[in-house]
Amino acid sequence: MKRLLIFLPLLFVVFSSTAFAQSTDFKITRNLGFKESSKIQSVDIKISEKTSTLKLEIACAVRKGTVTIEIYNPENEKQGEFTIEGMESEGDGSLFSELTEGVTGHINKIINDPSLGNWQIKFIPKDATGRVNIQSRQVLY
Amino acid sequence: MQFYRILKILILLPAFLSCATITAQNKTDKHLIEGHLTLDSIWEPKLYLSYISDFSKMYTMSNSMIIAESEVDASGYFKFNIDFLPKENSLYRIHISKRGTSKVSIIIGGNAENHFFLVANNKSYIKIENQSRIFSNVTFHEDEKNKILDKVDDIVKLMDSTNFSAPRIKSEFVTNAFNEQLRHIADTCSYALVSLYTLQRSKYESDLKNNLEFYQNYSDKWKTESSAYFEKFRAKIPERKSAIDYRLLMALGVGAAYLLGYFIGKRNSEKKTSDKRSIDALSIQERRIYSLLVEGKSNKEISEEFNIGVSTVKSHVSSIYNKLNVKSRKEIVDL
Repeated sequence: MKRLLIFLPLLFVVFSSTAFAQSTDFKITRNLGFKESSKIQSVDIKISEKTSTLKLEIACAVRKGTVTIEIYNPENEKQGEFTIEGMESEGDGSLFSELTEGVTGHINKIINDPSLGNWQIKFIPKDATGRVNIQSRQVLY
Repeated sequence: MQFYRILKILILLPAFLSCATITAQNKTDKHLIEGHLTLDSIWEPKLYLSYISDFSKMYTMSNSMIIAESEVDASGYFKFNIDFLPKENSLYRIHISKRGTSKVSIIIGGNAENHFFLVANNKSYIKIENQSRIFSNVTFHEDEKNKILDKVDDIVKLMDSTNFSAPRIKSEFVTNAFNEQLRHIADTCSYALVSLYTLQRSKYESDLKNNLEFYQNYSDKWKTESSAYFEKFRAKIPERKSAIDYRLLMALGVGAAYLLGYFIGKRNSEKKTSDKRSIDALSIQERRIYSLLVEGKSNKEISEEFNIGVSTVKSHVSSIYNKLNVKSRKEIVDL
């Protein structure tokens, strides 16, 4: 029993340290609010070292206007996109309140062994009012 | 395991498609999209049918695209009456929204993907079921076109999941193999819009340069299709120089070569005639001297040959130059 009491914490330390050594997560979150905007913006996600997985989660909501979200790899090849068109009538809530009206788009993209370089998320509004939330998670080897 | 799944699809799909294309479509008086869905509590029990006027709008979400709504009852049953649809086949999307969120929402990728595509017209009867997770495994009954569409979507999903689990180089090989398979389906499918949908899913635009002839042949094959989907596809395919143009160019080339040959021949012939005419103008002595000049002999050698003075030779040579319109011995040799 005494041996077991010594052995169990030791086992815990060994396993937990192994688990921590396996991977490192690197998360970035960006929020953009926009009002009657037509200004194209882009968010770069730089992959500068060998990465196991890149997870992108982009959520966008518009009350008015049109927004296109495009994802490009470092070779400038489009990897995903969506467009949402608002319903013209503007609500009273703030830009960052939960939108139960308006139009929403959500894209989940998981890229295994992503190419090194700048991954780009392009945000193309046309006279648009709304918000976008971009989350990226890099899992390093 | 994944590999065997891929292999199974690659082997069985062509057989499935060949059967599908020869099976006569069931005739029915029902003009409906109906079915049963298993939904969990996060989803609002309501479906929306959107009209996709253009392949570039497959992932566009707008209230203006929604053309019909259907409640999903407690048993999971839903129904869209589609008598009002155009008689031509068009692309549609059915989507569902999460509770408490906007009804006009699109979720792409992941387990909560909230939409799927189908082809329909005002006479279609399409029966749909899902197995478990929302729309990740939708099954079409009673409609061959959409069964093929469903298989195509399965390939695309499998391609995405393989890309997720495999290293980059392997996933490139797998993507190429799947896209090749999609092109084969598009090439052999007898339903025009389903065929074009398949080609669209193979991301053909990035393959245009490599396989231009395939796409040009494909465009020729469906040249009678006048829908906006095909019009936009054709606009992206560089036009081939027609066979008539090639034949015309070849004929013009042969004609030009013949004319060129004719004129060169005529010119040479005229030149020879002219040279002959000039030599005829020489006196007997000048012709004798001319023959030695052609042999490359000097004035002195010529004077010794004919036992005449060098100055006399010079005088004859000068006369020969004038009559033949040349300025040197070299020109005489070249005549």
